[in-house]
Amino acid sequence: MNATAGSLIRADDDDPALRREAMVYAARRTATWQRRPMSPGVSILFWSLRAYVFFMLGVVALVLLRLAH
Amino acid sequence: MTEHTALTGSQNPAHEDFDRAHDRRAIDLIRRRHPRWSGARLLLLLAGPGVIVFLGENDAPSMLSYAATGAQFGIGFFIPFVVATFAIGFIVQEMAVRIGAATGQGHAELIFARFGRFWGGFAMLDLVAGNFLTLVTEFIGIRAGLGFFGVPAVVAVGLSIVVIGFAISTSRYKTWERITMGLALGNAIFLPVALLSHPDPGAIGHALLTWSPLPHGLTPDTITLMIADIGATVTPWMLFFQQGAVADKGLTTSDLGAARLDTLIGSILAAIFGIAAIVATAPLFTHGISAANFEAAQFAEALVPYTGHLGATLFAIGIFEAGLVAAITISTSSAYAFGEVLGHAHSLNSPFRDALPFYVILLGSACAAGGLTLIPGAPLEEIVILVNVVATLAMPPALLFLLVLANDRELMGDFRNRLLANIAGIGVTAFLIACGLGFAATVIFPHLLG
Repeated sequence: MNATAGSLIRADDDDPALRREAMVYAARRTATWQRRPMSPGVSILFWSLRAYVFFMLGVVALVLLRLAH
Repeated sequence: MTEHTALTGSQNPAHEDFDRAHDRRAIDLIRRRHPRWSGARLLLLLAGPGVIVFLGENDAPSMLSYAATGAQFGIGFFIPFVVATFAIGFIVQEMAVRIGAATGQGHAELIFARFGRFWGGFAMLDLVAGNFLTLVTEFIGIRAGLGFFGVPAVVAVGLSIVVIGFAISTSRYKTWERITMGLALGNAIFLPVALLSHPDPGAIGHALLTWSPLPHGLTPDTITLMIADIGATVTPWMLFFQQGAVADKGLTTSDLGAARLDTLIGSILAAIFGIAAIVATAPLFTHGISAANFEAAQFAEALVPYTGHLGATLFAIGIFEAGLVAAITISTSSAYAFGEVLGHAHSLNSPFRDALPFYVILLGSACAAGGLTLIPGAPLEEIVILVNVVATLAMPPALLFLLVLANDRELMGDFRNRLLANIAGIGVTAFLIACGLGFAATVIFPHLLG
């Protein structure tokens, strides 16, 4: 391995087949996905579970309060 | 590697992409040259994320939960219950593996991309809070485990951070994975402790077949331990870590068979080691020793009459090892998630200079959690008690993100969830919600179960 501007390369990094494979990995890594529309059902589910988490955090706080006493 | 068709990103490969291409070349070489033995060889190459995530989740608070379970309930209901929780863990983690292999991207970045910043922010909040609390408990375990041998807390914490730094020092995922997997297999140390406690194989077999006995019946303590044992198996960080690790390792859908096997092996090993911890402390239950509020060192000392000094020593080492491996994996999970969301390089294949924020978050979160345990008067006991419970409570929303992503036709193509996977996933989510509400009912109405 030797160091070049900003990154490290190996002797066979110029191999075209390897470079193609690396390009596929780069494309997978940097692929961007658009935001998906959320159906009302899924939206309700997300809000319900968020309410569940807040409720359960209250329960945990109650446990801590009892422990403190 | 031809499965991924929705390529819209830049195709200028970075160092980490060349590392993955090198690893892919080694895999393809084995497939071509050794078709007869390729299965075993491939498994050796492809195994890692599944074994590490499950043995990483057999962390200090989890092993202490299992030890408390054995000491309070002996060999009975909780043995098959733990097997069931790992089956749940496998169902959930398999989806994370599939999403990682199909997309080549981490869990946090897909949540932000598909659900937006608002819901992504909630997912990150759950993850960051849970990870930090859990990391603190890992260092409490590390302190307690080495404390049994008289090692000062500051040395124990410092030594562990040096090990974490050593694991990432090569800037190569493969090396990090081998070091972490080697350490994680140390979780097997609970097996000899269990054997030294002279367990009755018939009682274990009976418990596995009949889910009994359950001493004292269904009480608030039983439900709390059930929740803690579930939290010892399925937590949000596991999803973020394993999907990130699958992407970082460069696995694709052509590797799914081996990746699933890796996950299955991890879950089976973790179940066996978890059960070993229950069996190891079961003599405390048999002899009526109250261990409800024991810490790691107290468990080790209490085990001396039943497993000898050797057993107690191995137990203490086991708690240290469990804490250390989890500290490595959980800090990596936080670093993956932050890197994905903030958009900077987030690969263990990246050189330090290319991914400085990634490595700073990884080491910084470990240092902050370890440092907290050194502050005199910090509420460590409360954190230990609550961490597995909090992990279980944060899991249903994380599962909903996972299920929606796993059913996303655009992301997953032919690898999206089928009916059976959806039934299992929805069933697991409903079960966790029911357990959480059961726990809440016993807290709000303490006399509900008599």
